[in-house]
Amino acid sequence: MNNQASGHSAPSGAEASGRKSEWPRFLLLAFVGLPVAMTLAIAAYGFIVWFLQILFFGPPS
Amino acid sequence: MKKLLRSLKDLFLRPSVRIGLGVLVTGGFIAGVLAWQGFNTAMEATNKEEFCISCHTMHDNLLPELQKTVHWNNRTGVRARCPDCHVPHDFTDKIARKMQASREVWGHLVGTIGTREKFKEHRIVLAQREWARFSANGSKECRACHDYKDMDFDKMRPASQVAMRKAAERNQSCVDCHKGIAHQLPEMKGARNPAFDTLVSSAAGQSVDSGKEYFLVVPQDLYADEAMTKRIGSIEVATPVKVLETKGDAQRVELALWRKNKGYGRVWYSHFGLNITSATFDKDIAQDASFVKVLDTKQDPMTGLEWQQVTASAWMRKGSVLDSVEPVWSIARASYSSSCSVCHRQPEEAHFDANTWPGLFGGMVGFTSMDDDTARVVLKYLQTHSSDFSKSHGAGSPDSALQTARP
Repeated sequence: MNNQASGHSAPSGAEASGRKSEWPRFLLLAFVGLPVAMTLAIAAYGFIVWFLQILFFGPPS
Repeated sequence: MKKLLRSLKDLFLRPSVRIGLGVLVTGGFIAGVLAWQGFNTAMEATNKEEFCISCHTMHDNLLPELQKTVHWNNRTGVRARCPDCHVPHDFTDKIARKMQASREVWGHLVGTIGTREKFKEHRIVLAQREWARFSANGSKECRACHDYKDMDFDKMRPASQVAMRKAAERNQSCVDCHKGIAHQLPEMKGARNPAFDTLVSSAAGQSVDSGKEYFLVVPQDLYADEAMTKRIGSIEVATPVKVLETKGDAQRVELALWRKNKGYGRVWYSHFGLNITSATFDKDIAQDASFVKVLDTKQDPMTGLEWQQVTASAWMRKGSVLDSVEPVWSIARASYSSSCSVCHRQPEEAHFDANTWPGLFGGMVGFTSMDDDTARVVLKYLQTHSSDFSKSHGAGSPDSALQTARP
């Protein structure tokens, strides 16, 4: 997602390039970027819960 | 970095020019559905037995064990698969457990339990981790299938009924009693009770003055010489000794104990007439009059045996004594109350006398997960806190009446 975005972003006023890359950007964000972000968020959540279990709560009751 | 932020801002905030709102939302919706489905598929795939046993450690060590149990096959055809018991069923706990598996992946890469030998050695650690989890959540995963509220106690065998009704009353965790239900129990013989480690380290810091009395915190070998080359016997935990001198790594201690004047007199006890083992010697040493000094002789009216009060001095490794025996007893007390109350109400220490405890304890200890060292400490704790020593069960109490009525 980032590569795509940064590849595009150089000229802020270049409408033509914005129009051209709209579809690839949309597809990449919807089908790659956000799913990856979701997985990472869930993994982070899992790790946080695990660490809290180690440090404070102990195993789930 | 700035560029990246701006392009992100662009991406999210600048309205699209060429794609209609409906197409965007529909596309996003479809992507969301696919992503969630994909996530669930992945979760399910990593929660399959095939996935668990695709790693050779699981396949070679744990699968064959499970296959011998009722959880693998039985007359009803209902069976438990690895994750049914070992992965929590609730989302949060499940995700946390999945992330915890990163540690297992690491172990796999490093080869912590790569061979059967390593696995067997490490098994106690794995088992204790799983036991702790089950005891914290009340064996929730077991109870997804076997819940107390769905049990018909009348259909159980009478002996099972007694145990199960009581367990249900207390809402007890299944694995409290049913350890090793689906896998072999770990080898507890070589296992160490971690509580002893703190004891040993505090003993290492104990300053020792010659001529004072101390207590052993771990069993030790006894030697005839200060170089500790000629082993002559061993001394038990919690035995009082008088430290005579310390030279290098060795310490000369004096033991003042009792023994039965029968056979070789190899086993020495801490009190007259009570079988509380405190030290054991090789038979030629135990018979050596230059080593053993007999101070007194008394006959035990109960058994008619003659007991001798004896004293001897021997060398042992230094750094294994404490000036108080109480830390040892507190470990023993904790082990006693946690291990025994699992299946029944444990008797008061002073409910039996010192000579009754060994038989009772020996018959029960096999049901617990105590390692050898802990078992010895607990037995000694029970004996030295038995009715023979207890003030609350003095003369006139039913227990002491029973004891004196003994044939």
